[in-house]
Amino acid sequence: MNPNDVLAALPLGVLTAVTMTMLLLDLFGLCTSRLLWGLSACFLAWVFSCTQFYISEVGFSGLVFVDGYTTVLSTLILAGTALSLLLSHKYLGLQRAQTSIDVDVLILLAAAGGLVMVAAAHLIVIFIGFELLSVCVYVLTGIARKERASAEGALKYFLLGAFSSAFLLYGMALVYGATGTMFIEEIGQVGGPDNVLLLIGIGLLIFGFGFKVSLVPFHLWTPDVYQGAPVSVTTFMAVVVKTAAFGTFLRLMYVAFGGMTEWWEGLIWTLCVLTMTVGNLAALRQSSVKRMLAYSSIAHAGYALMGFLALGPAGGAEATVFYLLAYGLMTVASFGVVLVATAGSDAQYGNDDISSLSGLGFSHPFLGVVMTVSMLSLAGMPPLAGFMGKLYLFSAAINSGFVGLAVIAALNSVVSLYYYLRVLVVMYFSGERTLSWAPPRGLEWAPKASLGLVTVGTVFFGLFSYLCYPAIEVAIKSLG
Amino acid sequence: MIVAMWIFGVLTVLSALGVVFAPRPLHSALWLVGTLFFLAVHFALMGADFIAALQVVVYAGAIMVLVVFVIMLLGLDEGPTQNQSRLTLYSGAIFCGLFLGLLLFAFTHQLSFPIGSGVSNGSVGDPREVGRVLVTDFLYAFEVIALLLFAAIIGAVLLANDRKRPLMPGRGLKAVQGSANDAASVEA
Repeated sequence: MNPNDVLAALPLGVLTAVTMTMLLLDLFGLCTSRLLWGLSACFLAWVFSCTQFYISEVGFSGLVFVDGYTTVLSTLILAGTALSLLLSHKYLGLQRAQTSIDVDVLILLAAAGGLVMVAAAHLIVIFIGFELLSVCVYVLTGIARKERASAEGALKYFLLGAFSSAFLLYGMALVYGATGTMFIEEIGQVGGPDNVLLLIGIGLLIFGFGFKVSLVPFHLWTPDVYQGAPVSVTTFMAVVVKTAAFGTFLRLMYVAFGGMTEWWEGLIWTLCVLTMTVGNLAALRQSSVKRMLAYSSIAHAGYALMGFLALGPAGGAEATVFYLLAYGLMTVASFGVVLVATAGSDAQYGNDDISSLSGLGFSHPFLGVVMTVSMLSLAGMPPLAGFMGKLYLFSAAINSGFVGLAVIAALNSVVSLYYYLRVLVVMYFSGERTLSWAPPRGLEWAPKASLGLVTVGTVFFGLFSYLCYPAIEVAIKSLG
Repeated sequence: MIVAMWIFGVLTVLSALGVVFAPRPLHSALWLVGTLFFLAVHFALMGADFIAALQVVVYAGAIMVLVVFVIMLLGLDEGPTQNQSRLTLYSGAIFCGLFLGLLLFAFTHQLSFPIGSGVSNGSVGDPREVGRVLVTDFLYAFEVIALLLFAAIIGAVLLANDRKRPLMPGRGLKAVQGSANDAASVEA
């Protein structure tokens, strides 16, 4: 083993080792605090992933990258996992879901899958990472077995996920057939302009990733699955799965196909506009909070995709990574409030009409503030993180000449204001002062900590985005 | 070789069509055995003997036995499956047709195929070579697949776990002892 192998193996190895230890201890009844074990697994893995930050190499005979990009994306994935663990602590039982330790183990293994994906330098490794992540999340979606919505969501997610994996795999096979290599750096060197097979391969790969990050027209599963899954799982899905898939997608397009942007620009442009517009228009018409947030997450995938059109000096890749950070913070906040406000009530699966939040701002001022900050940030209000993210994305798009796209995106942001503000109106101005459904106990410290952290983060990264931007620039530079 | 390739190619496609159009699930499953078997022949024709053997043993053998068991145990084979709506059928057919056309176009317009570094060097069929590559060049992928299988097992236990008689309630050994005691008391 050379040093790079060790560096590449450590984050993943530590994460899985702690997970296995926790499972083994539980067998003997010795795992006293699952939350503590889970959080320390995430923290240790993060510490070890930081060792790769200033490197730009490959490890394990070229299968994985050891570079700053891996560090930054791993940070986002592990932070999202830790926040989801905090949120689901004590709340799974209220959601009529399985509460055994296996749930925490699956969440941590899914995070491990994410780490594999974002580090992958070989198409096979991307696929295996994807499957590891997906298998865990399919099961997690269905852990509230007694709820029809949860079982239905799990089945739907599984079938469509398998379908999209087939797209991904076929795309990889065609790319391999056309270039003779599966190492993504070599693909970038081999690809030539007259290679029709490679073109179809790229198209299929984009479709496959489109399913995973729910771009329109591959988004149909998203609202049902987000609504059917227990909210703590939905949060994990919306943050970690999306970050991992987007991170991998970005690296693939940048490293393997970055030299042939003129081939796929049109396709990405179309998907981008469709995703933003359909996501926002559909969100306008939703009465269910979870469905509204699901469509809003689709729309945000559309914004994040803008960066793909401005790779290189225009700064699109940096903007997309920053947007993933901002999106993760806002999403944990919004789904977290929905989780805490509806856990244990009938509103949690299905009929979670937006009016179920009325009076929340007065009965639970803390949740009200968190939701307000999150909604304003999702709508792109300055000076919050969502605003800075959009600013970077729009200016990157304009820098590389996509002025029309930036205008469409700005119009979409204006449309989205309506449904985000509607939540605030319901929370504060519906005339009610108490929640129709009283949460069965006071707010636990764990979700409070999680929600507090993301709210502070949303404000902090909005005001001081220049503090974390250099790290992202180092990461993108390590892509080559 | 070319003649054999064409004969088995046609057979593969025919049995794949059989999977889709067979009216009863059990017949579909049997056609699927045929498809997987003929695919194995293709692997063998390309010199990948080991993969061909695996394909027969794992897919046509073990996995298909499971599929047939499930069909029979769940009583799914009681009658013809319900026909899907015409719209689904036609839109699926159109989509598949377009995709086929696209692929045919691509394959006929592709002038040359690069030879991959890892393929066609004559050693793909050798089990020893496959094993060596698996634990040297592809060690990382190999280890991650171990994790994937582990996650799948945990997931299966989690979903199949009966809440009234849990397999692993967090106090695993005590529960096992408890159920043994129960069984003993029942017998007594």
